[in-house]
Amino acid sequence: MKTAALIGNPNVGKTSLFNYLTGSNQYVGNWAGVTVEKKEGFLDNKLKIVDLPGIYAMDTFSNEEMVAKKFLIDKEADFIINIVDASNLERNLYLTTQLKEYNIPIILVLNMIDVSESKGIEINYSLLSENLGVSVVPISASKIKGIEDLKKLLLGGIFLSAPTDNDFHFQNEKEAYDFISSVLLKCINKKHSDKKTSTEIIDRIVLNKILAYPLFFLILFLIFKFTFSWVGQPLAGFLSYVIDDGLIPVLNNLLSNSSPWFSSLIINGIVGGVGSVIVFLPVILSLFLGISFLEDSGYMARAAFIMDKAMRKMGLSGKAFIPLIVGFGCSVPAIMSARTLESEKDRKLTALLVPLMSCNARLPVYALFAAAFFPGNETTVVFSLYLLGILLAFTLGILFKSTIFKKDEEPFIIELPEYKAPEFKNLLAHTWDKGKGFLKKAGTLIFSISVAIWFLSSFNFSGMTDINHSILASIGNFISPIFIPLGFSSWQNSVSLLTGLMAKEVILGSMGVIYGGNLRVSLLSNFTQISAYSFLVFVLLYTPCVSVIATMKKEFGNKMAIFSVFYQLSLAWIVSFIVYRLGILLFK
Amino acid sequence: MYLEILVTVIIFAAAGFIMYKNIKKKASGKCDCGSCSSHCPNYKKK
Repeated sequence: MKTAALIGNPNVGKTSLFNYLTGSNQYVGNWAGVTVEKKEGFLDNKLKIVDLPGIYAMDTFSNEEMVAKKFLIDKEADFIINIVDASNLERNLYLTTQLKEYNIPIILVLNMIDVSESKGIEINYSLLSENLGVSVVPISASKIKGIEDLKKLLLGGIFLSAPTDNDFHFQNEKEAYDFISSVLLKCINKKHSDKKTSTEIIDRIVLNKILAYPLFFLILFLIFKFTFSWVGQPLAGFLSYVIDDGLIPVLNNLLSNSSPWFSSLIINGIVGGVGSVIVFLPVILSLFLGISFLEDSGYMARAAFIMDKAMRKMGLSGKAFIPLIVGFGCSVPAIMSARTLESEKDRKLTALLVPLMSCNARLPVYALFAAAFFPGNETTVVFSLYLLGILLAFTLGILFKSTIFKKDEEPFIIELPEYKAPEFKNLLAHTWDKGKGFLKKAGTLIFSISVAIWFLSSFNFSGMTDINHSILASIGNFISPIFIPLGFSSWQNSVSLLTGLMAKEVILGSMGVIYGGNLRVSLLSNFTQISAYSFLVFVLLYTPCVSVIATMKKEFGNKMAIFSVFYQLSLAWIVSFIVYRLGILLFK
Repeated sequence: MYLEILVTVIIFAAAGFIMYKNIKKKASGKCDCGSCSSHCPNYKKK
């Protein structure tokens, strides 16, 4: 079986084409750097296609380039499918000239011909093929145009007999670009038109100096509204109703003849723990549907561009924005992605600020508390927490930069892709990917901790006991004095925060087991509005989880890991204290 | 009663095993968010 290497610049539609050719379901994103590992698929079981990471050239040394280069050097490919953006041939063909040096037959796939046509670019395909010595196939992957022709060509294999000897050995970049310009001069006819493309028109508004920031926050607010008011939270409420008023009474009935400890383990331990977290699946799905929409439409790259300017003003490197954005998903990959920053001080500073970006594990906690204590204002409350995290990151960024992390600024370059209408299938696949992760976590980690919490809350060293005399209560009572000034000092809340070090969703799982019954109702008798908000601020700011501590240790050593834990705990305590005291002062 | 004990043993064994695996994974700095796309640097070969 022949093997084809699918290769091209970042964000030219490689993964979309790969999915169409192989029937795969790989994640496709409208921003650079989506594919960072090679993936394999088969076309009609006759041809193996390997999707390689997007790269601009073969002569630099990033991880992505090394994966692609090694694949070609090891002669693993019989031929190359080089996909290029037809609307930006000059830059894309630089890689093509370098690929020619490997003397492997190439099929040049001109993707996004619809975009190039809309820009008034006319391409003479046969002349281009003749000049470059490759087979040329025009397609539009997003509109599924030209894919069948490409499939026929791939399965026919005629191009394999094309001569591969060539004169494509350029001494330097300039020679290569001069050659590309001379080829394009012959093969391209660009109609000069004053007509602006839709991307240019949208960018005039989205990147407008005055409108950019209000629009950015408005878009974020709408996503939160969609999540907490329109779709996610109402569905979570319905799921909660199904569990509390449907599943639990049925289980109670089924287990009516069982031993009390056994029925308590099943209902209070497992269903109470896992159930109190799992009901927030619609909230997670809604938020990530919104974020996927932003990514796929091409807005996310603009968000990075917009925020770069603000971050520089605040004293942060623009490059650090990408790890911070990743931090809204999970702090672990975010801290790891700080590796891309060149200065060590920048890496450390970014790693310390990343946990302030509220990760998705905290979302179920926010959702429950906001619905219980701030009905009608859920969106505003959750939005305020995210903003508080961002604001603190900026403030601490300035503080650290002018004290322990003095450094020079690094340039930040990001490619702004064309705007695209997100593909529905891709949006659903991406959203489900997040939901699957959440369900997996509920079924494993949260299940196991719920069982442990049930055991610790039902027993002491003398045997089965009342929850207030259990091992868990003893642990909770030991640490609860720390939280007295913050307004939520019960042993139940203290121990839930402690278990949250495993993962933030576990806070709800623990509360579900400890408080039992309808958690929303139980919380109302254990918190006031002010102490609930103070609790949420503490959840936002304290050490994210054990994985983050381990990552800090792995990336920066023991000292930095210990420092980060103490700094995060201190910050959480101080800000929660201020919020609680201010709340009492203003609202009581 | 025997069935209850058997089910309980299975639940505790499963929970213990899952927790052990999770703690081991977390202590090595691997995240368990399970919800990242291929943007995640965890995918990159070191």
